[in-house]
Amino acid sequence: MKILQQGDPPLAYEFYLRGRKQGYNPYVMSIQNLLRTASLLIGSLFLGATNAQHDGHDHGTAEATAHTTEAHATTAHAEEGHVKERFNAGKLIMDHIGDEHGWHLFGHTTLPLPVILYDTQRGLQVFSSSRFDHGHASYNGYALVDHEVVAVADAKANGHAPFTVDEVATKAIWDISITKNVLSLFISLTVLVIIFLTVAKAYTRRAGQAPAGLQNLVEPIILFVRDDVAKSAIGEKKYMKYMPYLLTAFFFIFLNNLMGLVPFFPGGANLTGNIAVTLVMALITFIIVTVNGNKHYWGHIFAMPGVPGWVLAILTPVEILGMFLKPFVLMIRLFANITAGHIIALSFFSLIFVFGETSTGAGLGVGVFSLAFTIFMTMLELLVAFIQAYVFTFLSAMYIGSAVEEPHHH
Amino acid sequence: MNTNQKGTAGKVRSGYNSYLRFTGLGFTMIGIILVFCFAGYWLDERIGWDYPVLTIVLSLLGIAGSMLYLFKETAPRK
Repeated sequence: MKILQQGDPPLAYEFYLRGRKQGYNPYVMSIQNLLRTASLLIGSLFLGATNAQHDGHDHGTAEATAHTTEAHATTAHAEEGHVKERFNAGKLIMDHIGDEHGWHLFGHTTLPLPVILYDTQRGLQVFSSSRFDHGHASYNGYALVDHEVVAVADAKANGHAPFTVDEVATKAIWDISITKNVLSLFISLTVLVIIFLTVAKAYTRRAGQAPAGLQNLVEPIILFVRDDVAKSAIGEKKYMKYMPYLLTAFFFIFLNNLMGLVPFFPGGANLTGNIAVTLVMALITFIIVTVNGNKHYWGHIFAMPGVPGWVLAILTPVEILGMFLKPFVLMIRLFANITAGHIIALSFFSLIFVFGETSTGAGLGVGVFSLAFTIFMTMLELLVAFIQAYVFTFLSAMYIGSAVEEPHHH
Repeated sequence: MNTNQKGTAGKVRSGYNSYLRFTGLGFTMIGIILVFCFAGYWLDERIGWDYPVLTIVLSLLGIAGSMLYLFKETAPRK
């Protein structure tokens, strides 16, 4: 590669040209994908290993089987006797990336959250999630099984696990609880409102002056979304109408991605890695595109101009599919990227305990590497937090852009 | 490479963004093929022929459709 001289185009252009020659994504994104794939591979290998261990126990020799039954017998008594359970990495990871009734703070301390149920048979039910005692107890006919609220057979008794689930009554439950993710959403919305009200006030108070304080943090990002996202994807004429949505989407995703990286209380929820959240965001984009689509846009979907009839027979269904698949991919991409980030960090931490079970020394030894890798991955996730917010906003803007695009006059 | 700085910067911007435009292309193509396959499978189940003609025909059409979609999406914009 030649040495850059003054007046040469910026380095990014070099990457662009190189990428273009090879037909690849931009430099940064390919490295990011490579690392992510590698880490996911490592993570899945290690998860596979723990599963294989269980299989080995189950289908082992007679001696081993006898041993397992004994082990099972001890776990059965573990509820009372506090016999040490085997560390289950898969369960730990899935619990952490999922939603919960109650927010685990540290040790055995959990922040109880309100459980709000609308039962079509019994009406509105509101009580604290601490009543469930982490899934060990039932309350008022409800219990937690695999983090889901279910109705149990004996409605009056406050029993203990294992529960007999009443399938019919469970179907009557609409769970609208303030869960971990909902609380996390409230917190991030409060933070966003505080930041933007402060900044908005600063703009009116210090009109015409240089920006100060929080303004310095927010202004470059807003300008970035305006110039690099909205203007470049929608066009100079029409971008203003969509700026409120694009900015909201960007800052919402960005802040929640960052909060997901904070390992303790106000952070740590996997909000942007929750498919329900990304579904709603993609749905909003889809609605905006569909409502604002002009004649040109619909014309290109249903009857692509300049295409022979027999090709149209295939192309029109494909275009209609594409209309739905584009937001669908938007939903999957954000969900998968953020969830993968959480899984990677948790896998590295789980390694410590998996090795720690064999011997303390092995656990400590692995801990050093785990920590180093986690720090490295977290640095990368900081980048991903921004890139994913950018990609979601940019692709949304691009779909909107294609919907409001004016036909070109030749 | 001797274009003026401003012109190049504009190119960089659109070039970089055009890559982003293609990030969802693979998944969309897979999606198209899958939807066509399942549509064929579903139709075959309903009709109940011994030989799954529609699954084969529609999955091939899905592949053709995804290729068409690829050409259309990557065609230079006027």
